[in-house]
Amino acid sequence: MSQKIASDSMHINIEQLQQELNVEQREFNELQQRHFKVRAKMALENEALRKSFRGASDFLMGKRKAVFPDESALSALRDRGEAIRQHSLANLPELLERLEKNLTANGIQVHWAETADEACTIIHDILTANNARTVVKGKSMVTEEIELNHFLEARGIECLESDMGEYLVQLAGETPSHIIMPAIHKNKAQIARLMHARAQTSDGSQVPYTEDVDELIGNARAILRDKFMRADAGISGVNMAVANTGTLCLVENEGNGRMTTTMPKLHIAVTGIEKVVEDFSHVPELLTLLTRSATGQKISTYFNMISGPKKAGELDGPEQVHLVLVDNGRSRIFSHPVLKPTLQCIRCGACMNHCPVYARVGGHAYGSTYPGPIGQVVTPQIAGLEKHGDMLSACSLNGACGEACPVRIPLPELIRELRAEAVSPQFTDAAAVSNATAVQEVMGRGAKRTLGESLIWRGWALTHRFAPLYRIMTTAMTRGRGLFRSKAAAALLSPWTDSRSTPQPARRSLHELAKARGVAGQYQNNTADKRGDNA
Amino acid sequence: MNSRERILQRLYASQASAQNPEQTSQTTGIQAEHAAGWTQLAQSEWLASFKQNLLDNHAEVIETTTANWAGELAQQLTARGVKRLLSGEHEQGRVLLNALAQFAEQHTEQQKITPVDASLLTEPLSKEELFLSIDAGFSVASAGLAETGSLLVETGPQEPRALSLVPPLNIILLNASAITASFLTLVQAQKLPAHMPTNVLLISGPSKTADIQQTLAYGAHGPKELIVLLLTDA
Repeated sequence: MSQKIASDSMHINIEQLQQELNVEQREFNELQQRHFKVRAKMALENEALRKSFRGASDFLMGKRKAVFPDESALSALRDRGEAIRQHSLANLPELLERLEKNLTANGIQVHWAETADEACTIIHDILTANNARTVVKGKSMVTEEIELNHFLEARGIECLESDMGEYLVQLAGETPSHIIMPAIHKNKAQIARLMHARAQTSDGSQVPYTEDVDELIGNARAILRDKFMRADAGISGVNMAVANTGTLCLVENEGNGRMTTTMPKLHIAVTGIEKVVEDFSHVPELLTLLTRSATGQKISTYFNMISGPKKAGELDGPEQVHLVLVDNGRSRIFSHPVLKPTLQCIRCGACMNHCPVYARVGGHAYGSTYPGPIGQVVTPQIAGLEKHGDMLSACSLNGACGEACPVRIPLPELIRELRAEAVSPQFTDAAAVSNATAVQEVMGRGAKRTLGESLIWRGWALTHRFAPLYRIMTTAMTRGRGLFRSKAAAALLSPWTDSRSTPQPARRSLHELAKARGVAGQYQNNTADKRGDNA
Repeated sequence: MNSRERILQRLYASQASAQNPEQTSQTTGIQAEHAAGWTQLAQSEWLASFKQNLLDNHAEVIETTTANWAGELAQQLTARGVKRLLSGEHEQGRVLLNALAQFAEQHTEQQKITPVDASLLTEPLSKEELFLSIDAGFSVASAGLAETGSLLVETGPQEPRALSLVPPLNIILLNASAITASFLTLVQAQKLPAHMPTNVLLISGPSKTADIQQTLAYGAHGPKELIVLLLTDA
């Protein structure tokens, strides 16, 4: 097999391949600008993509299941994870201040950023103050969220992703499609083409074409190790920040996180303000929940605990360590009585691995940094319901995400709450405002509210409150059922029926059928026909 | 008001108006139960679990003794054709260097044996040299975790961070008596240093990735191989 591929590679025209990839990249960018529904439709029609996501979801669900053999132990551990995260959030401002104090005492410089732009500016300032022109990045979703790479590259700073998946995604000019496995949407053959066409070894030559995974990784390893050796600065994320000891914890398998935080003389860690935990005693259980839920591993290859820059006498490690604490909408989420558990998230990705919608449309369809159920909850809250409210419809409320979540975030409830927020009137009357006090409404609340839809729902509610109206409606539906097959109805119902079968009212209503059998009025005695009526 | 003050002010305001008091669940009970489950096991079972987890994660485990480990390792390294090895400036490193020298001396008559060039790292090494010319790094772990097969490495002046990261072969020495049940029991027993060293690591195998089509590959960025020397009498 590999022999054949090797000989085929002789015939690959590199220029043609590069052009093909440029076209693919342009198509990708154009698609990301389109409406959510268009992206979802395109994804559903892409067979290779569906195969990649189906395969990955099955693989990751299987791995997780195997590493949690005992249901009751898992349940107890999830209780504990939830309790730890809720404890952290209940004391969030105090813990952040304590974290800052202890990090500072350890020699780590702490910065606070309210917005994405401010975070990027702070990082850029640190880099320029240290004359850093080349940056290697460890895996960090929050830097994707604030779009740091674009910001730095526009200012002439080379910013190279070093997580294997992130590196490939960056090479393709795309964005991650999964928070743990960023290149999950690509298969081996696609990655082989990508590496051959676009990757360059440190001496500037082309990488040979290969579909062998060990060789592909070996080629990327050589390129990236050269970068680790030379980079002026490393930028990483944080999985947990321990307030009591002033420690930044990073979870990883590849070693790129350690490289990023060890080799360059400057290390900048970036994290959302919610990642703080109070004490080291809270760390082991969150760690075990994280790795087991994410990839089905008992533990990751490396758990890296950083409590300061290189000290006197130490032979390696960064001379400076900075932490940038990013709010970017999190304090707003914190104020919401129902949506606050959003911040319990430890970014394991189990919710997306278990989501039947994610498994079919994939990560890019969501058009947001965070895809899947947690993305549907996080993104509309930090970027607004106007722009990202549509993705809330990509959920069947089947509840799989909530059952998989290691810290018991009630994801389906949060999605439902956001759907309601999207069509609720904005806080206007005095009662709602005084009731809310510190509560800030979700950004873009009411963005999806339309007169037509709210009238329909009012009518619906009215019909169900008044029996005579209800009877009129059911009579109209049953007697006029033929109309559902008419062209006019087809046009009216098309948003629903484009991808579903047309609803077909029964010939007679349930009430009528029950009455005919003489069971009317006996519901309370529970003597209704047990077989039911499937008219 | 700066960003810090504004963020904190918003958080404190929301905290004050939150209606739900903090839910304090029966968390300590769960912790205790978990810890008990593991601590009830005998030391030999910990050892078995520790070894199995490391093997599952593609590491090599060599059981040996205080008297023999250095000699055995010297033989292994020579047989593997390791050219340059670095160790931190600690007692175990000196023992290994002696053993390597002794091994080379004893086998001088034998042809084809290239002695391992081993040294203790006493001053910073250039990154080029570190990345391009060092085959193996030797480290000492201060604890082992049975539940996950992890090694606790506390870096510092005698234990540089790069030795367990940059060379393609990583060798870690551990006393079997330092194996404890799990990370949780280690933390609960307050065996993590009171003042954390600048960099503490849990290492549970060689560097790996499954980022290409969920296919596992070893040696992603760090060591391709991990050898754990377990001193059963120490």
